[in-house]
Amino acid sequence: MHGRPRQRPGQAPSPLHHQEQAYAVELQKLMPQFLQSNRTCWVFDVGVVCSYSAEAMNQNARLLELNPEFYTAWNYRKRAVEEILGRETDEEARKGIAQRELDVVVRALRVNHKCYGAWYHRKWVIGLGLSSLDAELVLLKKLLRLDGRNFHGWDYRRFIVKTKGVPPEEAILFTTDKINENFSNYSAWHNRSALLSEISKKEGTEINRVQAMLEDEYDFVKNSFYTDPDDQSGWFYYCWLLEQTIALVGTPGSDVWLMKVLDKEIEACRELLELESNSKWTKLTLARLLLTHASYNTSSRKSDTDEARTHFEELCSLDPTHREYYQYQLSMLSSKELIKDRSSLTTQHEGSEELQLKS
Amino acid sequence: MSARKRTLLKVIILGDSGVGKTSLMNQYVNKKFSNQYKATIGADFLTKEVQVEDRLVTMQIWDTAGQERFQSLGVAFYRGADCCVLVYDVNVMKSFDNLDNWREEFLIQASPSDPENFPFVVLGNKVDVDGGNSRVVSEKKAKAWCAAKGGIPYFETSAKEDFNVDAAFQCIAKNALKNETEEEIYLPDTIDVNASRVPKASGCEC
Amino acid sequence: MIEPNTFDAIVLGTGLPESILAASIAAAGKTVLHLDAYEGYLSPWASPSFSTLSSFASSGGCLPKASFSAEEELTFSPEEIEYKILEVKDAPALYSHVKVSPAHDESSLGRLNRYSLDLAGPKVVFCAGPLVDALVSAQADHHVRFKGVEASFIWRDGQMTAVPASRSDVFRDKTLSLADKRFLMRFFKLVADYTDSEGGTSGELAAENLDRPFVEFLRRQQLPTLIREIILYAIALVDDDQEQVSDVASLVSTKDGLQALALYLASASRFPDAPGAFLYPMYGHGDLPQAFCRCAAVRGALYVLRMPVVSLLLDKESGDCKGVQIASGQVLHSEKVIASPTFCVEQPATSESTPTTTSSAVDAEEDAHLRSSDVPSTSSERHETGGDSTKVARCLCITDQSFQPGLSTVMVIFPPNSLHGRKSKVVRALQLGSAADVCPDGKYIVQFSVKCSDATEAEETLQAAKDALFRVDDSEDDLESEKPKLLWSIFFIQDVSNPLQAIRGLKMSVMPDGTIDYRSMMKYTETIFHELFPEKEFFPKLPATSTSDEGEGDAVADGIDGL
Repeated sequence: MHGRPRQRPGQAPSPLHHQEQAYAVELQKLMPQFLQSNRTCWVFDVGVVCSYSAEAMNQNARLLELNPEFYTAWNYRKRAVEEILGRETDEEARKGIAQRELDVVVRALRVNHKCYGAWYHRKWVIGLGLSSLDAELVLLKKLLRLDGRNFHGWDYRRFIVKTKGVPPEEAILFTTDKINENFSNYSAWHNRSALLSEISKKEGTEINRVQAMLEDEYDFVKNSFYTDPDDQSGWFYYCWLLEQTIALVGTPGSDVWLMKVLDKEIEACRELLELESNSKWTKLTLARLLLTHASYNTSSRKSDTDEARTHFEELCSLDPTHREYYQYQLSMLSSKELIKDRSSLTTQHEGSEELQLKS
Repeated sequence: MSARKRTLLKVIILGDSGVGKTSLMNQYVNKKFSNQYKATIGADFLTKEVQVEDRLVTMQIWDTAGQERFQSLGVAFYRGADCCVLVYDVNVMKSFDNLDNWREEFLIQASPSDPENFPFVVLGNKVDVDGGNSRVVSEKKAKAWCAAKGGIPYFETSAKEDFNVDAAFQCIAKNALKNETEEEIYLPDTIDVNASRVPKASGCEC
Repeated sequence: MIEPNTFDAIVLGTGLPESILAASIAAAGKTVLHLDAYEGYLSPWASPSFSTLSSFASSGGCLPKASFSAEEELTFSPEEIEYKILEVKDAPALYSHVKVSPAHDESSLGRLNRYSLDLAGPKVVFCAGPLVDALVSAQADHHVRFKGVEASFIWRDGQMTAVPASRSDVFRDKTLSLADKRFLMRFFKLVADYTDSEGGTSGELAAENLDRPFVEFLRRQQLPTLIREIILYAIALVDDDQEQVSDVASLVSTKDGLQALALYLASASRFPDAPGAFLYPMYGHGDLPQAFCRCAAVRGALYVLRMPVVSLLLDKESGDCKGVQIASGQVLHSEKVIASPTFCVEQPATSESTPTTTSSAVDAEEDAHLRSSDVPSTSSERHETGGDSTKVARCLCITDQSFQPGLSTVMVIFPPNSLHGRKSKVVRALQLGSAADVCPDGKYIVQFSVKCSDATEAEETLQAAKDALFRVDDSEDDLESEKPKLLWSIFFIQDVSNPLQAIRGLKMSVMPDGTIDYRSMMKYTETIFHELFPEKEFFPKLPATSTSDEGEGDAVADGIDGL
């Protein structure tokens, strides 16, 4: 686990300079005042003049700093800001109002940086289009440096990148940086895979370019398991790459390319296995690569399957926790072989449905 | 990008030994006064949260730790100060005369980027002593000195009677905050070596 | 006049070891008087300004002293001295061969008052090393901020190669082959296992193998030459050539090598926001002694700068240390005096210096520590504390750009025989920029050091290192023109040896040595503390406070607050 627990909503935040009791007392004082303001603003909805007074707003901000999980208070702010912005026409003043909201969020995040309400409010404020998106990217860089796998942060970053219209080719560089900092970062790998999909699905992206991109990714991710073969994040990403590679089958020139990639990757895994004969992930990935290879290349089917079988058998003792899974794979292999022996008589083409990449 | 919201202000208090620097701090922060004089021991700095206009700021008030006695404060002590408070004893002429030296010392050591406009605040302490009868520095004289140095705010205080102490520190906080704009643009990332501030591993609950 | 006039300890000089001792003694609840003849905490450990360093250079290597004038507060009525008086003088020739290559145009250096030039440079602080521990236990940590050393490089075949020292470094390294990455990581794992087992390992790392040379151990691991070199000189930071050994004493044992690596690895992962294993104090190393002095002051130590000490006072009968007399004439009493090696104490006549033999633990330790004290020593005799060289050559340079574009705080190691002319010594270089607040924007300081047995050879070695990093002026080569231009530099040789003395109650501290970090200094300092106060703990660990629970929120909150 990556060790940054979310604060439980009910849990009192651990304030830096205050006694928890002082917090409770202040909270008790603010609560009725807020509820009073909140009631007044409901009255407003049915036509009575509302008072989103500065004082009420300050109280509300303080309340959210004390307890950022208080959703009603965030909603109150949204209504208030909408109303205040509705009255204000000066652009600078409007920007100032938005900035004040961002500051309130920052104070809430200081107390609990995994507060859904606060992040949601921030998105909402950015959606008003009154704030600098570059400033948000700087903020995120800092946050994700301190907590590289804060998924609120990653989620918010995707939102900003999308709002700003940053091309995926550019956005991907940030994931490279984060992975270089620490490659055991699922969030960064995941974000990378999403961005790569986006690039390859873009209209007009040439197939050679997608192929070259995937090859670069294989080279990149290989560094992770040569550095630490026990780290799962790189292997997961590798599996995803393999899926993407297979998905290209059928496009012009891809079949030859696929065999070339598979040969190269099988070789790399074998090399690593020579250095790390007991590496579970290497064995498992190699077995999968071999089976994929087998399903596209009938001439080596027998030797590929035999080698894969050996690896699964060894995995049974190497990783007894997942023994059942490996045995299931072995039984699948046996039944497939039976079918194939028969189907080879009718030379029926086999698809790649036997790939089960997710463990 | 918005201005960096720095909430921590470093304030240092200078002045001759025995003018009441520690007493002023203690009165302001802890609301305590002790008649017993001892050269300062034990206090590195005291912190207090203050509301300045619409902002809540933490003031870190640094004591001289007795190193002022033989003018043995090092440059490291002066670094990064947002406001410098100069204290003298209205009953001791020499402590007033030395304000010049303390101001000079500060400007040389801290070398602020804009020495002309660096915020100082002067406090004339111990106005309570002997009902004001033993006083040797007049308010007029002190104010004239402050005016000559570019209009330094001046307060007459008594740490013992808690006279004017809050008002003085409120002004100190306000002036310290003014100075802040100077450094907003570039703050290098530095590393805090206190291990207790370093995140520790625990379960993840997204 | 200084009051009171009797102290548990008197410390002379404000170098780092003296300052740490003052802080640790004050923290142990003892009274301390800390005296220094200089202005503003100047010492061989300080980071003087450009102008102070210039007067240091023009005087041929003397630290400029404050002129002493008895201030009003220091006047006193003299007392009769009933002690044996030994004159205290400045140690001669601590620095020699001081040479400045002035700037063609001083204005090219920018604002001169922005410079802090480490006299003891290059030095770095291990994140997980004893100095950081001492700073935290002494509560001195909030007086010093650090900059992380961004990257280390090793000089090889005429170019810089990044030192992969952490998991992430290995991952992103572009020069190592995939298999080399695996070898290196496996080796790190071995070291980690060794650390976890606390020495109780078997096989390759069995106790009987630990005393064998580290370099042999590395060879047995079948590590490629490049990796072996990186481990030895850039990670374990070994001082002497291990491959071609002239002196068996300079061979590092497997145990010491592994300990160095373990410290390195622990350091690399200690602070999440530090890029590597090393830290550099903002504003230079000179802020470290000041931080400890401030802690000492907060705990009641009395500080008097600009106050020369004229003599040491001994008991007429026993010859034990009893105090000092200062320039104002006042006598200050203490049975424990710690002096910086910048002082030199006249030796007592042999007949009176013989300590009366007792069998206390202090004595035993003291005798063990000063084994050579059987021989009556003279003031010129000094003993060394590190390695085969008693001198170290240092060079501080100012340049106009970083030698690694995009990086500022960078370390470079030149292993043996890597420099032009196959210089046999290890040279270290540390680049610092305005990010560490030691120079104006756009300027860089590069510090070099090499152990030195011969002045000419040392100067040539450092010249070769400078030529490797900086532009050769009239070169037509395009590659050359991309290198930083050397604007100003100072070269000097510093004595590392420490004076011998045999007066009970007087302890001499140490000069900055030829190593790149503070391990040896900390060890020595702690030893002195225990010899003086065997019943006390050196910086007792603080009881855990509730603030430790706030660490995470706080760090992330600070990041959030960064906007």
